[in-house]
Amino acid sequence: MSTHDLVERLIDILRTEADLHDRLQSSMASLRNAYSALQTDELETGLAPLTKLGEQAAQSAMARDEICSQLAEQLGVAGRLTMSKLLPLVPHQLVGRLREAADLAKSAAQRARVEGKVGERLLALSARMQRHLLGGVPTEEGAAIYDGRAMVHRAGARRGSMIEGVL
Amino acid sequence: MSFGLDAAIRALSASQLAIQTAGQNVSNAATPGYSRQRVLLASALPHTIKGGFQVGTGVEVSGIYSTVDDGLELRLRLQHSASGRAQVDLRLWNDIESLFNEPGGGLSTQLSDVFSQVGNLQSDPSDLGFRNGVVQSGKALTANLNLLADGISTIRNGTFTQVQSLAREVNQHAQVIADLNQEITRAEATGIRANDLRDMREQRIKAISEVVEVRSIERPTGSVDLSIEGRVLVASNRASSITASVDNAGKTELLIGSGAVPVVPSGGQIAGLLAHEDTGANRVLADLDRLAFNLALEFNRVQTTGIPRDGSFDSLTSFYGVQDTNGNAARGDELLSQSGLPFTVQKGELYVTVTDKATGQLERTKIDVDPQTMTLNDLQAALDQIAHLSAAIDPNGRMRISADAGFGFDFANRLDPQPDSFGSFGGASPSIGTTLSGPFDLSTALASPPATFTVNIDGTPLAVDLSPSDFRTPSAATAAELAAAINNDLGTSATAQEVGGRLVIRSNSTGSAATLSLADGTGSPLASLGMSTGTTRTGQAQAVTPQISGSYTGSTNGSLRFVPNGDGQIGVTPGLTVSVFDENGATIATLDVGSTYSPGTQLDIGEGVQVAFGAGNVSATHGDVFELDTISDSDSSDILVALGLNSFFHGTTAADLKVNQTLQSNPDFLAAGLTGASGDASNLSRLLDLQGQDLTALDSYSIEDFYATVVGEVGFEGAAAESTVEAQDSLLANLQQQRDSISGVNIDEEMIDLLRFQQAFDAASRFVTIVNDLTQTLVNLGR
Repeated sequence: MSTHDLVERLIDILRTEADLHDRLQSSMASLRNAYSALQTDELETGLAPLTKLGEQAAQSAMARDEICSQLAEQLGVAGRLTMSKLLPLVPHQLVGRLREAADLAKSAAQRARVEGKVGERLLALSARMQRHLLGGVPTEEGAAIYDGRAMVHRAGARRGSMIEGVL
Repeated sequence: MSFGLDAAIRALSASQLAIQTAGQNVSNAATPGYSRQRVLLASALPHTIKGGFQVGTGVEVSGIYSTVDDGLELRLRLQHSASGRAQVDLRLWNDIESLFNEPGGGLSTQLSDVFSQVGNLQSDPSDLGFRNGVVQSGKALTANLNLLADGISTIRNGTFTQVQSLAREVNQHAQVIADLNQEITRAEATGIRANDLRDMREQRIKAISEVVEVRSIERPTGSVDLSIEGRVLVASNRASSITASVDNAGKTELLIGSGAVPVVPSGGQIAGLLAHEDTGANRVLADLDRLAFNLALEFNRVQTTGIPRDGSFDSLTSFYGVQDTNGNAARGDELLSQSGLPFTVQKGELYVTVTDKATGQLERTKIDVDPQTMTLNDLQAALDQIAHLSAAIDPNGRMRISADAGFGFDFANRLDPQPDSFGSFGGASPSIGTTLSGPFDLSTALASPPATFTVNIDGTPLAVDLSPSDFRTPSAATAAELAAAINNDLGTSATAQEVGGRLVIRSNSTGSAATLSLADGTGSPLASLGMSTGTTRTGQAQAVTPQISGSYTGSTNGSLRFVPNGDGQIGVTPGLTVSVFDENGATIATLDVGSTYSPGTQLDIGEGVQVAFGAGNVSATHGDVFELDTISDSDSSDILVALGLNSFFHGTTAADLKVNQTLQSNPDFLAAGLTGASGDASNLSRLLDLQGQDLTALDSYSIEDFYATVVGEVGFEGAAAESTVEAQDSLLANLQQQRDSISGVNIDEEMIDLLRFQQAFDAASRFVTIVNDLTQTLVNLGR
């Protein structure tokens, strides 16, 4: 493929990626909002479209990597390929469109990344909440544990009673 | 590409077992007289899942209002902690972001400006205004970098004070809670629920939760115990306390109790402050320090191996001194690896060139540097041994190097314009050399020592003896060992020298009347060496004197060996050629210097090197040869950078990086060239190359791209912090609303629902983490 054709292909992929990451961000934001709004059902159903978008994004990323490798080889770009290295080397008439597509894709990816980070933090909070909620309650077969809650509410329980909990 | 999403979903499914079981037990735990084993057996509707485990489906429980409240209150408290942490995180990232948001582009523009100024100077390296421009742009860059580092340090250093203040707040609340515990216990002992007191206590617990995440357990008496990461803060009517401290690494830590045990809280404002000190401000500062260090390292590597405007140095004193790390009150006797120098000294080579300013003649010396075996004293001694150079170490451990009057020195990788200073390639003095490179097997020649031969200089015989003790291994005698042994016997009439691995014996007489011949003696050592005997070599009025031009562009340090193929006159003898071999013996060029060659014409031999030969005779029979050092990196050891010998930058961190004061005072010290010739800007090209060069130490980014990454990460963290606050606040509001509306629900369903939704989000977040890799590569491409 000629450099011109490779750049045209790269522009197409970047535009596709911009769209995919926008939708990815939007889906993740919906999940986040469902989490914040305590909407369990939406959380569970929201995973499927996210998975599909993620697979498409991965396919686009692979196609982009391939095109970038070919471009780097053709244009003699050493090291990490960035737009600042690539743009001075591509055909003049394509520079504007490539720059625009790259900026769009970069912005969309940044937004998606931010949403991912927020998701990670909420995940950490979820994990802590679960630990706290399950605190004092055995979750493994055969576990025995001092159960603060049972003691509190069990009539006639003496302080410090050990409940032989076996699941 | 596999997302690992299947695994996440499988984990989600598997965790349902634990969730349902836990939910069942939580609900049953509130049932009077319950024990898990009994309930499980009594359960009418268990179902069997994979693995044969039976899981209960829950029981209807009455009178569980308090447990419902417990669960929600617990989540609300945690949410308060999470929101408190998120708010702190946002505030601190906003503070850092504001430092980077400078009008005019800030540091990014200044980095570009340095390279832009270097580009200007390239157009006229002798222009003082352009030189000043480079220095001033460097000053502006370092001033801003220092300011940025100072601002971030201030944010980081504020952590301790803020944690200390918040700790006091927590201690006050804790004491009130302990007092309320006592009152509640006393009041409820009568059987009446102390709702007002409980409300007051709950408010205090929430207030603490915003500052630091606590875990609470209610006792049967009605009192509540609070703990931070398993350490008791409140137990019944007794309150412990927390304090801020600074650990050995200089980081703020939170201590609890009279035993001052360190705890790392998971949530709350204090958790946000501690985490930000470690992974926020410190990380950004570490990145800026890495940028500063590598900027200095790379610029200084170029600057220290270039040549200033006025040519070679008369004297230089290092900026950095070695430390007395072995405590013997002497500096310089420590190994270079243990000398406390700010940059790491590598095992490598340092090439020192001494120039005779009157003749332009260069003498290059290679010093092998090994920081594990070499001290600064050793280096000083090695420099001191070089002709016309002296070196000394001052009481501060600094190295001073001086050249004799009329001489200069430098560390540039320039090509020697006249590499045949010995005159062994068609020189004015007759010479005879070996036709092959060493080592040579002299074991036969030295079987009955001494081995002898005769050197006839202008008809006068000089006897030479060779003994086994002259060589480390007689069967592998080197040209250098032979030259040393032969010179012991030659006196002043002739000189033996190693040239490109060959042995050359040269008369010290010059001109066409000068003659040289060799005759073998006992053991026939000349035969073993492959040297011509029985023929007389004469000198010549006009030496060939090869001239080298250009700049070596190869990537490795090495040498080129030039050897004629046949005997004849340059530019006259038809078919006369010169072969050029690299340091591995591979032929890299064969140059036609026969009848079609016009003496003095430059011939290209590749990698930026050209050679021209003067008219004169050369002889393959008599082993004519000359060698040219081709140096890519004249200081692969980084010893010049480590000592700070005519560096561009001084300092190694964002906070202390400065432009060398000597350069500020006199920009002529900026090493623009590599040859010392007027208008030479070849070293500036190396500086400009740095602009686009990906550096491994900067995660394979160029200097400018790495800075853009740091800024991008700060912006990203700020945006993520903002969205996190938004999400946490929304979650908090919804939890509060749910608590307000809840009444008489089935605890089993409530808990399972809660955990289901936590787990669903868990799976989604794991997916998101993997997507993070995808977005990162795309962001990097867009730079």
